[in-house]
Amino acid sequence: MKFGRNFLVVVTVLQLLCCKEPFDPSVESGSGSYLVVEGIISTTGTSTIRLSQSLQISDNNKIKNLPGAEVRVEGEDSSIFPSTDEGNGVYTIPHLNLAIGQKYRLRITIPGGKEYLSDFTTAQATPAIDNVEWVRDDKGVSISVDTHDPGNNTRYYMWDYEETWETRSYDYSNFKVVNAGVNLRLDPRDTVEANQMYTCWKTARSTNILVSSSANLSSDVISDFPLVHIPAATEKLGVRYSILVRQYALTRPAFEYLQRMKKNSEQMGSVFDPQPSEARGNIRCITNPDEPVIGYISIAPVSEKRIFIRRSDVRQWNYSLGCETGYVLRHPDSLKNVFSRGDNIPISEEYSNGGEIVGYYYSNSVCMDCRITGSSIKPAFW
Amino acid sequence: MRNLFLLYLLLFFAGSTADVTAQTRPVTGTFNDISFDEFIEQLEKKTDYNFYYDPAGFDSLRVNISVNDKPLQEVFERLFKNTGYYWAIDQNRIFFTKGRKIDTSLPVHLFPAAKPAETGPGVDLADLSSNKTIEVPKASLENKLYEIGMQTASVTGNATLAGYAVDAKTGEPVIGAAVFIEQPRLGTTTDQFGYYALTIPKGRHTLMIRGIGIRNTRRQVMLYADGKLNLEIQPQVTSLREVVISAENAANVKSVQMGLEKINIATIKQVPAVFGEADVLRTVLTLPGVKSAGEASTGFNVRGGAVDQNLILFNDATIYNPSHFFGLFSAFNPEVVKDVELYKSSIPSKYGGRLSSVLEVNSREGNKKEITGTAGLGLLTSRINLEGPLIKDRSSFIVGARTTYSNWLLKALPARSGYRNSKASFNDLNVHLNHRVNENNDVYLTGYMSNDQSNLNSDTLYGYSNKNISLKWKHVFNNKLVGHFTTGYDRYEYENYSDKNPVNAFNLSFDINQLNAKADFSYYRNPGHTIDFGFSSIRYGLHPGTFSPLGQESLIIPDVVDEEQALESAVYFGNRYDVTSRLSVDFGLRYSLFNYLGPQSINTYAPNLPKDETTLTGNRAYGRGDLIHTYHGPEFRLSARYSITDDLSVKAGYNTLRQYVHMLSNTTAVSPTDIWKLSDPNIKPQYGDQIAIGLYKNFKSNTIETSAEVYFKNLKDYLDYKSGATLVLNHDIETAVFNARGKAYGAEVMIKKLTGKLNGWMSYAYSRTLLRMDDENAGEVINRGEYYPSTYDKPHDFTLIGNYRFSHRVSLSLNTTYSTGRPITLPIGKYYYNGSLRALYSDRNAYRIPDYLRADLSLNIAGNHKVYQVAHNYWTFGIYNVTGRKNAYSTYFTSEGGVIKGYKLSIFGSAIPFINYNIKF
Repeated sequence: MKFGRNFLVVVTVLQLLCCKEPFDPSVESGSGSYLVVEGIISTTGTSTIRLSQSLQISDNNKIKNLPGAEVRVEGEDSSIFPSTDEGNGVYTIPHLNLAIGQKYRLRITIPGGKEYLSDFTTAQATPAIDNVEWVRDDKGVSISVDTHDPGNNTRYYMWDYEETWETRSYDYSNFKVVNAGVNLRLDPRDTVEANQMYTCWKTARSTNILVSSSANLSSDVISDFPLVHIPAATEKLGVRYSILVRQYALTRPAFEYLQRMKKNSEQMGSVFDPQPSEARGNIRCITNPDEPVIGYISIAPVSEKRIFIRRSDVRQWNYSLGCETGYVLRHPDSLKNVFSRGDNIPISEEYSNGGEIVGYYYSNSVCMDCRITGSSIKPAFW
Repeated sequence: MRNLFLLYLLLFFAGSTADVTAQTRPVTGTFNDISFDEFIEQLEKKTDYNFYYDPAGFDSLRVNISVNDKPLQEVFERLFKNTGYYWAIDQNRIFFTKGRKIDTSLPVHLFPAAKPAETGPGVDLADLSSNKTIEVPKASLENKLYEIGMQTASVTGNATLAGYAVDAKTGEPVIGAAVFIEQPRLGTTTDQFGYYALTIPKGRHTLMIRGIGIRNTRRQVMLYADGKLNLEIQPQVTSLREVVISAENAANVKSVQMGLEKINIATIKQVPAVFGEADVLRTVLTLPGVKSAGEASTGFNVRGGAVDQNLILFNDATIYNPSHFFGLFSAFNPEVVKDVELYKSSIPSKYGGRLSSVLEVNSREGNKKEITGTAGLGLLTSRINLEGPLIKDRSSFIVGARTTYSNWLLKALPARSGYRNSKASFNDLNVHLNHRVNENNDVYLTGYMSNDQSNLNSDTLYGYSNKNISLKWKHVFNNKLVGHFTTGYDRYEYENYSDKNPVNAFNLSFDINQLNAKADFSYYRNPGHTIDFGFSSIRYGLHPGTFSPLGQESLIIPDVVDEEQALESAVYFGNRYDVTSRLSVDFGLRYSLFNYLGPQSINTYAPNLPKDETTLTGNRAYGRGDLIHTYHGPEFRLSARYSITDDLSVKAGYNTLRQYVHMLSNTTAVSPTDIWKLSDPNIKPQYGDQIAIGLYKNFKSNTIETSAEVYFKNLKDYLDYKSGATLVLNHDIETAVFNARGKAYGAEVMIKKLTGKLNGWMSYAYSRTLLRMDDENAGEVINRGEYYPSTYDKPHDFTLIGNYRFSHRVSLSLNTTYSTGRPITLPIGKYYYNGSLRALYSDRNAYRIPDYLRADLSLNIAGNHKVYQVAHNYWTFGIYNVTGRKNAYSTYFTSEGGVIKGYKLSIFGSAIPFINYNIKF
């Protein structure tokens, strides 16, 4: 009886909270390759359109670029602006000069012959950015944007940005490792290379969808729309930081499309999550009208504004690389042990009382060579 | 001496030989101020008569009379003149009565040749027709003639006979019994209080009483005028585990109601349920057109309606969450429940406020004769129930309680099982009192409470509870007009808290309260015409969400969503009318009114744009009691039945309904944080209408019932949710929802066999529920504005409930269900856009989880059936989910190492054996 009870209890309770099993819903094949169109057609200058294809859930790749397509902008007035295939799914349309108020569309023919066409979309004017502001708070630095349209016509906005910041290595490297193999030795490094290793610039693009609207306001004003937050004591403001904010006017459908894409990608169907739903953009597959196409083509000039922030502008940034200095005796075996794998870079030498080099200070290569994570080429705007 | 009751009996047997006019032997004597007792003593000596009277009634009478060789008649004539005392002579028996006269002659028309008795005008007869001074006796004998009304020579026209039918053993009302006469064929059925009212031609009738659970019986009635007759009926000791689907044999063919399903507790108890707990709601789920989203989901969907579109009433109290442990068990104690009725098609006009259905759960009345009880032991729960009289034959109580010991069980598990820190406990308590003040007034008091606490193996403890009390007064104005006056208070609340990490220990709570009052009247104009009317009012108070820190160290910032108030009122009128003996119509009208009241601050939005943070234009504050917004409108309830033959009928119905309170839940599975929301200026009430037509046919003298119904439903302003909507602690809930349009249609077929060794039912339903959102100015366009399936759209649904009785003590039950899997939205791919990898979702609800299939078996073994023993007991053994199929109730997707992986969750992974022991004392 006692056995029986325990047995039943265990069986019952274990089964009560049972069973998580892999679930492969056998989504019909082919759904893994919908066309993804990203980019805004600027009315003047050069526009960039990026084509890729969606992937199966189980795919380990991040992106499947689509080169070799033919992309062009067509006007209602029969004007045609062809693009250049830059490779990796990037297409540029140079020398655009589209008229505000005119309607244009994008035509894409991908390898294999499938043809896609966007709806005719009116080229909108984009108001200028009034201000890109930053505020230092307890948690770091917040950067926001202000804009307004005196004509109260724009209402829907999108932004993206490009951040650039200067980084400094842990120290100057006065020596370089020669013959990492058999006859390892350290020679003095020339100052040009040492400078390149010491000062770099890093760049990052926005990864969020940044859209806002003034539809609820009596005038078309966007005030303090938050773009980016730099956490306190992080690298971006270690020396000097710059952000280029680009602003585009959107139509309401474009705004809603992007808004929904933003919400959908913030969560992913767990048990307690709400039901997502996919919206349709303004691009259709002519060859197969039922095929979904991801992306929304908007046509608007870009308004840009760049600001700079120095470390000295923000109080108490307290950023440090967190690197350490090591010391190694100038003995072939010791040097070989430290430098042969290439993961350490010498900083400077240590002399004996007799003026003889007896050893070297060194640090991790990531600390010593900023080119590993950044670029030593100074941006033109810096 | 003898008492009056004996006298009645004597009268009956003596009646046929009476010769009242025969002269009696004369007496002589002087009686000088002696008591009546002494007087009779002397008379007994002088004559050979036997005298019968109630000494208590005569103790104040002094005899002061002198007679000389006078017949007894003359003596009594003089003695009782203008005294209020009467006498009657029947052969050598003499009866004395006070206040009423005994008529020793046979009733008029007992035999066609009988001569009318001569009775003086204004004299009350000691018959059964008057309820002025004595209680209506209980007619318990088949061959006795009960006279109703004052005896008159003329017996033309109709009269109404009414009263209660009660169980002779327990005093409980006999419900749904047919009370009818055969010449002409007129009849009615007793209502839920055992009350019947029957208008029939005056004269002599044999009143037939038929019903399930009672012995078929009859009463001889002589009807002179309107009157009352209570029927005391012997219960039928049925063989064990008889399937009783409906109290009315031919009800499915004969009633005007469509889509009414009634299941009594005996049937519920033999449907195998998880862990052997007889389960009210799970049995309801076996009916055609009733589904649930999955195993662990609260509530049920009726004909494509949402879970919140069902009005669940427990003795008139609204139950907001009818389940324990997130839907695994229903929150109704089977020992207290008498039956359940589900209205899914034509909803009577007295009900309103929900779009899909009304589920009435009725509790039993306690035993009015003696204290009895039952107790049950199951694997997870134990229950006890006690009932008995408070005042014998007049008032009774029934108390039922259930609790789990699963917390104890979970703790007893080895630590490596991983469930040691799980908590899952629930309990419920039912109290029901009823009191008969007098023939015309009954009072009923119901109290209900249920509590749940579980942590789903997480750090957060989810608790919720229902608390309800209702008081009902039933008043019989006269034989034709009955009124019910009900008032009550209902509360549902949840409280989820976590105290694992003191810094962010929190408490999240929600509650909805309603204070309600209603008056319902039924007027039985004649057998072919019944009118129902009444009014009701509900005052809502609702705290949509309170998030507060728990403990001193908690750094949680309190967040309180403003309290909501509203008043929902309705008046209604329903009219059931037999146009011909074949055609009956029922038309009802309900007018509902909803007032949203302050204090509250209401957001305003730019017109013709979706409501969201970007279209918010302002906010208006209202003070306490301010009328913020009013919604109102008529609701029509029409149904008709045409009998083609006695066992074949066709019915049609049309209903419109409005719903002002909504449950918000956009998750696909169990959610301990679902909240209710009142309609407000930004959230419109839901509106639905339904048209249905059905064909009903009984075979083999009503032992096999078949029905087929088709329906089409329209839904307007149905609430669906925007992508990524947050509902908990959302101060601007209107920005998370939109009003969709919907349609639902389907066909239901059912076949029931009610009797025999093999019995049960089989049902199949095909049903679709489709929603549509194509107005981009109102919210998001879903699936390009096309119709999309709702989350509970399950086209195919099949149920088989079968019982086989091997003997009176052993029976076997089988329950099989199959249904299409629930729709879900799946991530079907991923893409890189704007610097991030994003999931690509299918159309909303474009895919389905695997189909659901389950079979359960149970074996019921009863102890011996000896009537006289201290306790009766029975065992239930069974296997839940015999095939061990892992039925998915939900699926979810998660990103593991950059790859999105899908999982399905099931509650039961294999066959589950169970055992249950019940004792009845």
